[in-house]
Amino acid sequence: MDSNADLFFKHNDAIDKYVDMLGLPLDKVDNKNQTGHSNPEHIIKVLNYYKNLPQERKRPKLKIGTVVTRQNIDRLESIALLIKNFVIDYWKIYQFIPSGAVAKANQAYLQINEEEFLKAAGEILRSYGRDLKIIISPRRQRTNAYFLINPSGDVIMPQDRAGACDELNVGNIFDQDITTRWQSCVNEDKYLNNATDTFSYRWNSYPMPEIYNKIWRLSRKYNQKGQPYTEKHIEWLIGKSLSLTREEKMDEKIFIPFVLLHDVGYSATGRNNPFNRQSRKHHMMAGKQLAKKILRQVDYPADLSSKICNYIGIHDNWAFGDHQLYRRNKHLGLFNDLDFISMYSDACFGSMMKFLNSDSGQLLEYLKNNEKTVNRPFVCQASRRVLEESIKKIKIEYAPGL
Amino acid sequence: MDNFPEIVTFRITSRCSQNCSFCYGPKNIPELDFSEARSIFALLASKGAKAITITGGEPLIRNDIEKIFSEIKSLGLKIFFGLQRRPIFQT
Repeated sequence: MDSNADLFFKHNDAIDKYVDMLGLPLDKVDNKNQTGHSNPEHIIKVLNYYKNLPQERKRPKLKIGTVVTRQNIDRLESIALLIKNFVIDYWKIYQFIPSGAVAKANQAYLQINEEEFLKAAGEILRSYGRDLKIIISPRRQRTNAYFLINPSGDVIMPQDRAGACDELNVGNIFDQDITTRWQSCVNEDKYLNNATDTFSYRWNSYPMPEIYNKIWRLSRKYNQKGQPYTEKHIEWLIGKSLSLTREEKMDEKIFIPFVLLHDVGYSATGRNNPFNRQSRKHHMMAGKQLAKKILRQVDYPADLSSKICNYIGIHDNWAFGDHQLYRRNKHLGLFNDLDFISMYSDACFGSMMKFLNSDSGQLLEYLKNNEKTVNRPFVCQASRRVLEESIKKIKIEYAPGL
Repeated sequence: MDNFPEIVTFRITSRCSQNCSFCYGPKNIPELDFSEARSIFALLASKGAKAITITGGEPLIRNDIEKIFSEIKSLGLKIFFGLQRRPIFQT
């Protein structure tokens, strides 16, 4: 069996040189007891290869994918314990999908329902979410959520209707109207969520205009001096902003740098309690000046820079009684929505519990009754959808009984 | 989304050396040769795609896989690459 890794190692130089993200399947950790899943030894060899690769060597980001079936649902923890030993960028846990002739034929002994899946995956997230970046993907998330091209060039859309999984043939990639046809059947929310969750979990691996990456790189030294969760908070916000600005037809050239730079001012206040009003005021003022400097360094257009810096200087003015601002200006409104919702993200929820000296139930209650929802209503349906999704996710991790 | 999707998934082969019980990959579909695949990559880049997830079947089973990587990168696209379940590692 040792020789089985030959083809990976035949191509490893090319993979390291060209590939941005490498997905590795891992559904069990040994060859005992589980039928239907194949040998994990080869994947472990690949993980060891990357573990021992010199740090300066170019390499792809690593994603582990696990399909949860009836056969391995009680063994997910062994996978978590194994991959903790390696440097991986994230672990995506999928619910088994009875699509295709083989999976359908084996459906009876592999299938699990969503409740079972979320319970098992949620337990893993609660236990290992601090050590591993974990994304949970139930079966319904795949429906109408991809642009798949088959080996023959046909464009395919996965569908799950009335419990039956199939693939709709949308047309051929060379058909003139293929974009229109695909748009007529895609669920945009799911497509964008899937793309964002999967590919921009570390958002800076997402294909974005280089100018944003430059701004990000220049802002990091400030963000790292800020609150302990600032970078993760911004990554979460960017992941959502990339899809929502498009969905809401907003000006990404303003919104994305605004999000990237909005908290650079915490580098000047130190790691104080962000609920302290003085800190809040100070970080807006300092942030405005730092953002101006960074945007000038990247030659950002002056008119856009001026708007961005202005927003940074007032983005938390709600703490000083100005709520109308967010109703009048959609950029500030959407930003305020996402900034609030991010407290429900795994990037911030734990830190908020510490700052507020509360447990998960108390924090959920605090957020539920927050004045935000009264004074600064959510500006669009998309915000409300992100809120609902985030609450659902955080409850799985922190408060499964609520 | 106003235009073409930025991330697309291309199953470049349906061939695979394994037979996993939960596989939902394509089966027995004729595959495009390199020049045909190259024209798809160029089309995707021209339409505005930013990244291609290469999957299968088992992509590494194709003899021209390194040429495919190089071609995609030359068009400025990112490559997300998914190995299939214990694919190529036949004894």
